[in-house]
Amino acid sequence: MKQAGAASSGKGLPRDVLLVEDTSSLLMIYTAVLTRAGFAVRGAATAAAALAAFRAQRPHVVLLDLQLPDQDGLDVMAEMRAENPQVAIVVLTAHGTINRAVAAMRNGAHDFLVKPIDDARLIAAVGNAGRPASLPAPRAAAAAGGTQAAQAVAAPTDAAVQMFVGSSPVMARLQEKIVSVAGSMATVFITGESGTGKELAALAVHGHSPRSTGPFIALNCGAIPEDLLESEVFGHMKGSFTGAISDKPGAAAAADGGTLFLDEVCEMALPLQTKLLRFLQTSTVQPVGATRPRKVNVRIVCATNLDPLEAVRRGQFREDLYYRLFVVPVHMPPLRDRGEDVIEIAEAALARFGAEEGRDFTGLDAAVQALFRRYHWPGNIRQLLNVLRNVVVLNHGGLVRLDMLPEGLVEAAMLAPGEVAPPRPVVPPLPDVPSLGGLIGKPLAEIERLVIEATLAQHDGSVSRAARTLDIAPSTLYRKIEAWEKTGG
Amino acid sequence: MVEAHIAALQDMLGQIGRLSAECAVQDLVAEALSRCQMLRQLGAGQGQMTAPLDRTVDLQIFERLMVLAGPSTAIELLDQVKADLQVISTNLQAGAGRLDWAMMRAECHTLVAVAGAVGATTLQAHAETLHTAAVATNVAVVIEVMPALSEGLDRLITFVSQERSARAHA
Repeated sequence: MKQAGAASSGKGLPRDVLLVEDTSSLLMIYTAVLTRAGFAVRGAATAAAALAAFRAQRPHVVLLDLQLPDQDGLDVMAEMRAENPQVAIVVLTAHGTINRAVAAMRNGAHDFLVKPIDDARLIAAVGNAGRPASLPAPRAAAAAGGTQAAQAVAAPTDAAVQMFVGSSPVMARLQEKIVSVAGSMATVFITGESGTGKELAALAVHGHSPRSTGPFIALNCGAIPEDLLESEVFGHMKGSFTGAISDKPGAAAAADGGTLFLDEVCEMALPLQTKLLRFLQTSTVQPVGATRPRKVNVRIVCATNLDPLEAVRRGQFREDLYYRLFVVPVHMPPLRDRGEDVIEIAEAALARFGAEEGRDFTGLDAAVQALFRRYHWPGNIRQLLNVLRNVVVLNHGGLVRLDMLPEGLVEAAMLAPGEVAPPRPVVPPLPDVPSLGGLIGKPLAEIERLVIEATLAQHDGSVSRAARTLDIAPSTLYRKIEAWEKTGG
Repeated sequence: MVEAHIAALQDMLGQIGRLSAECAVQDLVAEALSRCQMLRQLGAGQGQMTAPLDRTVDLQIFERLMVLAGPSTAIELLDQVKADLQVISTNLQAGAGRLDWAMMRAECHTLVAVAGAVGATTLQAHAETLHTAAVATNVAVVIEVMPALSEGLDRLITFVSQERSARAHA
């Protein structure tokens, strides 16, 4: 069997993977997928061979089938973790054995994949697992020394990771398209509602491309203050403006040899759109304060939750830039158009969240499944994940029943789409709004949160209406809420 | 002629399934599955396969896998897929014949993964159904699913063999 021969013998490289799978054809297939994506893969078909290779290779990531001929996969995982607690283990489980995956997660597995395994999901899981916790995500390199806004799009969100769960025909076609376009240099323009997984689609394009071993730099154009955006994209020289205390390369230069992902691109200020167009035409960047431009080799992927052509008609987006970027359009379908995917995603998320929170959930009861199929899901996968996170945190386990769902969801699902505003998102309890005087002395981030929470309260929890009032994209608001939930705030 | 035998056998399988809840039917199951297999082979020999081979797999998924593997590895991969499928087929027949639930579950696991990887989505669905039946020790479902699953497995093995030959001579 052909395997990647780059696996080192002494100490592992960041992309060293030990793949433990006893079915030879699957071992070959997974090896081919990962090798194509730039990983150095060594295979083992038995527990004994896996442990021997583990000791010799010291891999950063182990992909471990739980069903092995000579030893239980969970025991193998325990041995590996005892010898190297830092190793990231992604377990491979089969149809109908989700409980084993949950047990593995509880015992320290980094992630799990259910067979048959989609190749984009495989690459994303191994890529995430292989990223040392002490290092920033590759894209964060662009923001080194930069603003918090530029770092806001770091590791793929839960929503993004979940995108490729699901076997609906529309997603199969989409994944085909992503794989097809990935090999070229063509600019990919991803559209879709908030929460549909546009960022993971961008990651998948990068992951399947010949430049997958290069950097993937993501910038949320809607989350970065306008006066800082140019510096974030093109960089600056020390002393070029107040606060520029050192040279900063900028995202475009940091993405050299890789992919630059411009999220919410329609929200980029018009003056900067002109500079972006020039960058696309010349492939050169000129940091603020620099005297000479620098040539870079960057593939552009961009995304928006707006209709880009409508943005052009309104004068919000330059027409020439639109035609320069809108080369290969990829549309992310809303969750309501993905058929049974909603159940598959919900069950996968339930297992994941249950493992993380130490709760034993066994699935969704029939009424919940019916409701999930019927509901409009205006917030898409992100909203579904928020609902499930809420269920897992507030309940002990068992089958998810209607009475466990967040307030308002059942009622909203009974109404026709568009009949009422979206249900309340899962947000922390809303605080009293202090007066202006009460804000003085607080950090800016805290003030921002207070204002956002007060605006959400004013709009009865509606993210879309609050976003309109605050003049930001709903996706930006969702991301902020998600970040607060993750930090437990 | 074969069709009439199959119809009679299916009737018998239905009766066995209904009986299964009330008594031990291991021998009957084995006999029925064995006769079903023989008839299927006879039908296949007479050119009575129900659908063209190229509908056995989703060709987009299959071709993507071949591209991923590359021309040289693709042949080696097809050999390995065929070998794995043959082992699964043998073990599943044996497991179903003696209602060895653990063996059926294990083989179904592997079949779901391999069939899904090469794009044999119908066979993957049959394997998932059989796995669920094996977990629930549901004889009636095993009897209902096994013939279609066995046929799908045979067709996939044939398809893989033909692809392998075509690519080797390309």
